[in-house]
Amino acid sequence: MTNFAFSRIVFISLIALLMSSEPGNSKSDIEANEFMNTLSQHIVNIVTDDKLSKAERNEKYYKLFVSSLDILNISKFILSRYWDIATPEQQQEFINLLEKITVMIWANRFQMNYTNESLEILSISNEDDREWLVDSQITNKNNDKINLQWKLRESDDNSFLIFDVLINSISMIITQRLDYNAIMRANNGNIDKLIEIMRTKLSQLQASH
Amino acid sequence: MLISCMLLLDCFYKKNLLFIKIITFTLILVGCSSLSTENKDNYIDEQINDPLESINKITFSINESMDTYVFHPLATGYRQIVPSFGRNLVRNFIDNLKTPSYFANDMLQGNFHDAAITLKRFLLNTTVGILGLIDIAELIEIPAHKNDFGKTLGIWGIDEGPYLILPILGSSNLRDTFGLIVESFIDPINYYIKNKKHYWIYPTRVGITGISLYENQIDNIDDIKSMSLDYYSSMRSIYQQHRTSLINSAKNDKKSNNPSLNKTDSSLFNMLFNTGIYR
Repeated sequence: MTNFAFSRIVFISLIALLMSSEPGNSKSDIEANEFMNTLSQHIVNIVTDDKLSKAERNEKYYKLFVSSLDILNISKFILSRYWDIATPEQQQEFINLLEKITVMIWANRFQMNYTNESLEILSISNEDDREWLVDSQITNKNNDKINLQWKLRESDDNSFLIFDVLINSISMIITQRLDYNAIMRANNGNIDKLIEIMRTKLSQLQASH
Repeated sequence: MLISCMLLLDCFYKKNLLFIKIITFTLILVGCSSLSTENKDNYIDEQINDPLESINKITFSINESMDTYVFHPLATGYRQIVPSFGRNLVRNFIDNLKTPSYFANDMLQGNFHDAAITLKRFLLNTTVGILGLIDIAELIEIPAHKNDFGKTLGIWGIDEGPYLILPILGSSNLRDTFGLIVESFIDPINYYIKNKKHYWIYPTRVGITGISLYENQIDNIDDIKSMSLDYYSSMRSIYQQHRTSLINSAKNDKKSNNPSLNKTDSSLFNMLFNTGIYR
């Protein structure tokens, strides 16, 4: 092999190496955009379907959000330092209850604010290797513009999961975390007491929504 | 601090009592803000900043009782009696009266772009919009924004100080409370009331403003109440996040010189998550 040919091979190999070492995500901004548009359209369909009963609507929201939420990491974030001292049974019970409560919160808030207009996606930024921040806006029923920021994560099975939603810069999981931690502090870190309070709250929500 | 002291001396010589009070309050505020930072260290992993929690909770429960028996029924009745169009007129009128305050704070923050927009809105809405009843400016896409002296102080670097629950008014902090007090002194409507001795205007304005604002937020308040395990903590968190986000957003806009959406204040989130404190 001549020196010139060898140099060409090395040069081309270097180029290929550089291109492959770009922060190549398995998911792209375009896929994040598609995920959000699909999710938003599903929400609009539920909000605007007048034929649905309350129970049917809640069921649809549950199916939609439970598959979209990163509930394990949300649970760990909200329970914070108490996660490590909880038993596996307590952790599982907490996750189950939190999932149901969170879905009801989100469903109620979207039902309050969404109209027949879909989400307007303003920007998508890649925060980390597998995390995205989606900036969006909706116009609610009072004609007010509401800013929504979605924190998305790529899951192990290559799908998108929602970690947080910020409504006009108010983070839902930070609010929940401080809420739940206040209960833990008031009950000397007793996780069973928190779980009992969550069960009561869930029953109240199910009765009223 | 040095500028405040110099201004204070100047005011003593000129015997300008109002400004002496304002500057004295500013010095106290700066001192208290630094004290609250020390207390905040105890809550650093939760960013609660509520050393007066026990007193705040008493005021909160009194406010809650007044909400249940007075304000909520009044706001609900107002909503049922006055149609949406009428409520919008009231909201626009009240907001227009506050525009001089928004303008003053835009200028104090060095945000001359927003100040120009505020001035345009005020002139348009007061004239063509019939004393602000109709938000003509919004119709021709001159966007509205609010501002307050508490936000101005935040942009100037004054720390929020401890979380406070004010009687009737609800969530605040030391900085924002001071901002409210200063604004009441510089509000031109209040000067008009004092000069003309039309004192009935003051409680009327406060009452109508309160009911209008409460009615506008009633669904959100009910939602937060029903969804929270600890309503007090949820409201505190929401207030603190909201104010921090407003101030950081304004600071970011100043740096980039580019009006933008309110961006997330990710400092709390990142601190909690990246340091593993979520675990």
